[in-house]
Amino acid sequence: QSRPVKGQVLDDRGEGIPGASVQIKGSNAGTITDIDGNFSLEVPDDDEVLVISAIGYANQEINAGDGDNVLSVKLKTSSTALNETIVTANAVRREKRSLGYSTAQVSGNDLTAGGSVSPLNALAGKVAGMNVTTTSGAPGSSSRVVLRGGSSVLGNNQALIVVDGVPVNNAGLGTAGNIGNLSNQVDYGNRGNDINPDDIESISVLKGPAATALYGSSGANGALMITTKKGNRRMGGASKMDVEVNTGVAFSSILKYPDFQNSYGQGNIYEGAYPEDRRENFSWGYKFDNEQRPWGQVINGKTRVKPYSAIPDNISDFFNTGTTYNNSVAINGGTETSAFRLGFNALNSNSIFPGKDYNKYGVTFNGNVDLSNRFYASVNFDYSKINSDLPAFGQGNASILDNLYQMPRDIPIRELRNLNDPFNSMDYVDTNGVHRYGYYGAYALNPYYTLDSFKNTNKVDRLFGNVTVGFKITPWLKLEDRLATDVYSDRRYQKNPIFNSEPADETGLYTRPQSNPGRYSEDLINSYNIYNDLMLSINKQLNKDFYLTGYVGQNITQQSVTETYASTNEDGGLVVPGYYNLTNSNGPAFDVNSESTKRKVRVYTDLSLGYKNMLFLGVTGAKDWVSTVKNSITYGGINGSFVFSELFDDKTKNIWNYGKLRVSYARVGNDANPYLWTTTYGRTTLNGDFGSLIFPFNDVPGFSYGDVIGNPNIKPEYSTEFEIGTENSFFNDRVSFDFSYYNKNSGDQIIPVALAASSGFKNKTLNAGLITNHGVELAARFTPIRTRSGFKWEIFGTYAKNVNLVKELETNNLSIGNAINGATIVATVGKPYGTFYTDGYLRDDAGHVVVDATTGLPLIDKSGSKFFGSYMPKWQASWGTTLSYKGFTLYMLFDTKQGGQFFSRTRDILAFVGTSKETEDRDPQVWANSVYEGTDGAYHTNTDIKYNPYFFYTGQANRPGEYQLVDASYVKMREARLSYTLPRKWMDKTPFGSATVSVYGNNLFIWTPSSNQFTDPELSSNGAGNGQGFEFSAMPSQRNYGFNLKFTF
Amino acid sequence: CKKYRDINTNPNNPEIVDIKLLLPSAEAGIAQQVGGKFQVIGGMWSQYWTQSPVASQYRVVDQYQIAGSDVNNGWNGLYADALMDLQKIVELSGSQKNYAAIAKILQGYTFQVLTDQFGDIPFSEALKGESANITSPHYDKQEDVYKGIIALVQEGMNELDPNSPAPGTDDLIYGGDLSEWQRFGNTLLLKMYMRLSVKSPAMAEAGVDSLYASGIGFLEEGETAQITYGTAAGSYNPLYSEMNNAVINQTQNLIASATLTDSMNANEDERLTAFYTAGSGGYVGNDQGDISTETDASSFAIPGPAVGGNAVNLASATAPVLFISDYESLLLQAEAAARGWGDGDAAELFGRAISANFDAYGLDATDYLANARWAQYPAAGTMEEQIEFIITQKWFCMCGNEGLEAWTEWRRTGYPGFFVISKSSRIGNNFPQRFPYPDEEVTNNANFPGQKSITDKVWWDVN
Repeated sequence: QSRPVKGQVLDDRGEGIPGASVQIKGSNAGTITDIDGNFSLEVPDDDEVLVISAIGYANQEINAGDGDNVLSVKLKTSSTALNETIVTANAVRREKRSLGYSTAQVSGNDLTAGGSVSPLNALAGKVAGMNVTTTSGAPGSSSRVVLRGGSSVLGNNQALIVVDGVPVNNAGLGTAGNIGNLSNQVDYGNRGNDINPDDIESISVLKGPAATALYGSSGANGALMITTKKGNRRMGGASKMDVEVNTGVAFSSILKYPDFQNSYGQGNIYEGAYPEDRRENFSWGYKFDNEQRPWGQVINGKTRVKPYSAIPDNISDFFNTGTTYNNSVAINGGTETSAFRLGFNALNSNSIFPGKDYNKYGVTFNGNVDLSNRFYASVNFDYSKINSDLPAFGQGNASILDNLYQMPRDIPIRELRNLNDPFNSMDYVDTNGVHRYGYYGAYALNPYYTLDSFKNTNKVDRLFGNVTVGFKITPWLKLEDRLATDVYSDRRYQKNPIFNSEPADETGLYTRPQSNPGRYSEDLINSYNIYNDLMLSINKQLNKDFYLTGYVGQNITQQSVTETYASTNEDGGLVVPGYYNLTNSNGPAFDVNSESTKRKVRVYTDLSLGYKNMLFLGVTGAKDWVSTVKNSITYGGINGSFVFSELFDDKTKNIWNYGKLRVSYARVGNDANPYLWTTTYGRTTLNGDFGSLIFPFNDVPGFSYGDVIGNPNIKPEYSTEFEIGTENSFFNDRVSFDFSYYNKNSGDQIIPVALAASSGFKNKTLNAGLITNHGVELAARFTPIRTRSGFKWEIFGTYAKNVNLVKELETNNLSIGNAINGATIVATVGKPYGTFYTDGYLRDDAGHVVVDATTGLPLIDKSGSKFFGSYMPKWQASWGTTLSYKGFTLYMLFDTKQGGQFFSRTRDILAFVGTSKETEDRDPQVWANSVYEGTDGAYHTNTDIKYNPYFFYTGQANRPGEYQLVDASYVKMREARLSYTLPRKWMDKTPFGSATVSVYGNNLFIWTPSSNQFTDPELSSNGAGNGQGFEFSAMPSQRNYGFNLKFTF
Repeated sequence: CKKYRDINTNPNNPEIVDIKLLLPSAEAGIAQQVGGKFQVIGGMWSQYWTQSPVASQYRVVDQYQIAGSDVNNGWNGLYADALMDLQKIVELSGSQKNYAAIAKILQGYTFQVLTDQFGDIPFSEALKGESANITSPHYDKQEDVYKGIIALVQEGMNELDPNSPAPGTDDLIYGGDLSEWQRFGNTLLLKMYMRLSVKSPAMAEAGVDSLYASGIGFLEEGETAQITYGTAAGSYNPLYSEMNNAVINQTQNLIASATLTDSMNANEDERLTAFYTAGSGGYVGNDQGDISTETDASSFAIPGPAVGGNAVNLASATAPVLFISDYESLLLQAEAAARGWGDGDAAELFGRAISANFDAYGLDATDYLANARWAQYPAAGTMEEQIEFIITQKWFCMCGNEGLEAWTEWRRTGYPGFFVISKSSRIGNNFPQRFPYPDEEVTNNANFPGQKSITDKVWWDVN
């Protein structure tokens, strides 16, 4: 016998809470509230108590009553998770109090507050110990998420991304033309950003191995457990379906431009025959005088004239205001035994780079059904499709910024836009049939031409999801199987034009032709991943005091990637202009294909024994058999949680509401990449410094023995981590904090140790190396004001400090990033991971820069490269505030990273061409705090030997790599949002259930040290790779702001 | 479960291949470095070429301050690509003795290139990273390297067997002609002994005598050991491919040096027209290392297509890379005769060498032989005068196509005697005498003996 119970779950503002769990205490039966917080449930006559829980709120128990009244339950927000539940490994929801390791949870609402279209970027500043690096913040750009510092020298350092229990591949793949290729750099993004943030219910952040031991080799770097929104079940009487619409438009602009000088224009008055050289990309000309002067080439007897004066905005004038339209519709429906959610999303973005765009379309479906009292099933899938044309960066013809940033300060960029005008053209045919360029510059391309003619298109189709069936053997024991897949196809096409243009100029000044060999390439990446988990779960009150929960399971994983990369001949380029096909290759087309498959079989268990809901002991253990290592890998951990506040008397508890101490230790393995066991042969490619010879050569085929010595004895990497922490809350949850200390050792690093080439090889893959990380994390929340009228003011923040050290490494200075301009990012013993290694200024013992006694220019230390700072911040923090009153909410979030360096090519190129602010003072000057070597061989303070800034800035050989290292510290206003939810009573007479309007922004403002006049230090030319802190004329970061309307009906 | 996981065999690369595929890779691998970056440095330090003042790619070469990083690719390419592939041929050859024989001779050639530029190098412990787990080979003294190379080349020559199968088109140099390989080996040994002519004259003389006594003979006209290239991108002459690629984009960094053009013009040497493409000022070079004149770079001559040095002329793509040229062989023999070793006629060999060199470029040497100062072999002069003529003429002959060897012979003999210090020199009034060791070797070899100054002479260089 049972009775129907209906009710509504409300927050402290009186708004319905959707998705709250309503469970009959002591059983598995229950339901979830609908979009307006309503529920209805059949409650057996014997049962009296309902447990109501929702993410971000304290659990509440109420008497179910006799079913005659509609219940109304108000939940209190909870920041400390007195009774919060957390999604842990394998998508198992656990009470946070029982966990002996550090976790954090970000709700879907918090995630979307700043309006970021990337779920990963939206995490920035929200979790202590999480380092999110965004390359640009443009839709589809890469993001890197690292928890507690890097732990693998060359392997993956990013957190594992798990969606509804299924790992999602977030690796950056690709051969050429991908980010990291410095002369042809396109950020094709990484796939973790394919998920629409609006589809996310919550993200649990599991920071260390203790939390993720069950993912073994994949979870060594922590995990982001993403739970997607599900449909809600509805009892008789509730409406069967509702629709949620979310529509918005966002605008984008560049967050930080370099500081430019506005005193000097085109030309070079220092050396050379033409101080007013009209071909120049140099702004080392005369001081501006506002006189009318001809500029550019003389074509058909005509030339253009303009005043010789600065155009302060001539860089920003090039960019558009980016627009992003983001529209989502979700249909949520259910019956008493089934529910579904079907979501559609369209993201259409026009880049700040005129003409470039990014479009993403997504469909998600989540459904679940009870097939009988014991059998249940669910299906989740997410399909996304991306079409984009992306800008390229780095060096050379294809790089828009490289061409734009070399423009002298007096060139009117807007007059260069019409490419049909011979004065702007890079390639037009004159009356004699000769290809000519009339563009003013002889050393760079018209950036509009680069925009127009260099295409980097990307098409992605991705499907991931899972099917789960389960059987409840007894009320406390169930068997579940989850079969999941993640399949995607990522196609990248690059088209670069061919041109060979003579200058049009009739004065004879221009002699240099401009040319580009042209290029077409296809990079086709297909990734297939299959996962199956069979799990037996237990949830049993053993006796009055002891409660056992957990599972044993078995997993089978297969991960495969195939890639086909083909391009026209890299040196010969194209034959027929404008025809982009591999058959149009001048010389043999280049092609390479590869496949890579890894298989794993795993058995695992995770058990937690609770005593009086106060003391918890957790044990995890697993054993992996992986195709890439010969021996099995065993790992596991132990963790304990002590909710000591359970021992407090009621009086203490009123003040100190909650207190928990936790401690954990775990060891996980990290397996190897495929195919490291043997030395193999490959088709012969012979490289010079620039050119290369590729076999077959004159019809003779050739193969060459590999440069990497195979190693069949490769062992898995391991990480061990000890962690201790505490969670506390006081004064009715108005003050709370969560603190952790951890110490992590990551050893047996799988490294291709560099060998002396005289051994006949360049590398051998070895287990060598140990990295340590230790640090502290603090998250705190404070509610200074909470009134009965509904006014609430919250302040929250995080702080994290991680100390990273490379302890052992069987090789010198292992490069983990690009070596260019003489600078490398290395791992080296005794330094933090990601240390810069380059040449520096010569200094005396006191650290003063030594200058040349004649020229006054600083000298470069010829003794070789030295170590500088790491790209990793010394510490990072965030703070934010929320003010809410009635339907209004104002939210702001700031974050900062302090310490760390980045390598800026932007600084280098702007100095070379003389456009940056730092080049504005051109009078001969004394290098600050410098010394010179006297004839006596001693160093003397330099007071009068002046250097000419021209020779310093334009002589790249006069500047060591140290010059390009810039302090990476910053403070950012990461997110802000002002939203207004229309009062419920207004909505009652409309078909709408609720409506919220918001204005929001992300990446809004940045403050950097005065020494950084160049770029946002977060930029990365290596995308989400390990070689961070390398800004090689990288895509600038964007400020995004917009408004948004969300309503239901 | 075991079988399910047993999938770690690399599907992308084979674990075994036929040695017929390794020989052309190794041969082209030697040429890629000797004819590429090493040709650039050799061509500039032998004062055939200098850096164009309107570009800057090779300015450090004219500044005499190349860094270890400038020679990483050359060193790595010779050791890890060419020499290692030759080593695999020796290991895998089995009954195909001629492959092993040719591989040993070519290893000898390559080790000499390395030791001549770098001095002491890994030799006895080299190439054993996998087979003997020696990942940081010790360095051998140059004297021992020379002895080792001589033994290795002799071993290879002894193993050449006309009754065993010979390579075919996979031998890019001689198409499997074993008698030419015999003479190549003999000429290589002659070159090596001649390098020791001043340092160890007794050993050199005995060695040379034995080469003549063997009756094998040396490379004759038309037997130049070379690899020819094609006009398809990816098959370019290595020097041309250094300029003709998406990065350098046909920038003409190399122009003629006045050291060479002045002396050839003084001799009315027609070979200028083959070695160079005239600038607007004719066959005129810029002063070595002079970057002060930016305005008129187009007036200077630039390296011609016949030596692979004209960045915008596709004919450069087909220029050959020479291992040992016929005229080089003849001039080595002439020098032996001048020193009174062997049994040749120095004057006759000297004349034949000039004719062979003109022939190689489709020119007629008659006028030059009759009139040019440096063509008049001083048969009645002292041995030193004769050697000056032989080596100076060798310098003319090798213009643009064997720059490294010309610079090396200058180091040995001091000829030509009219080299000038580069105007960009950063080492004062000194010439460079060797290559610095590559960065990567410094960093990665635990047994690296220490970096050398660019002005330190190698062991055989007592001049």
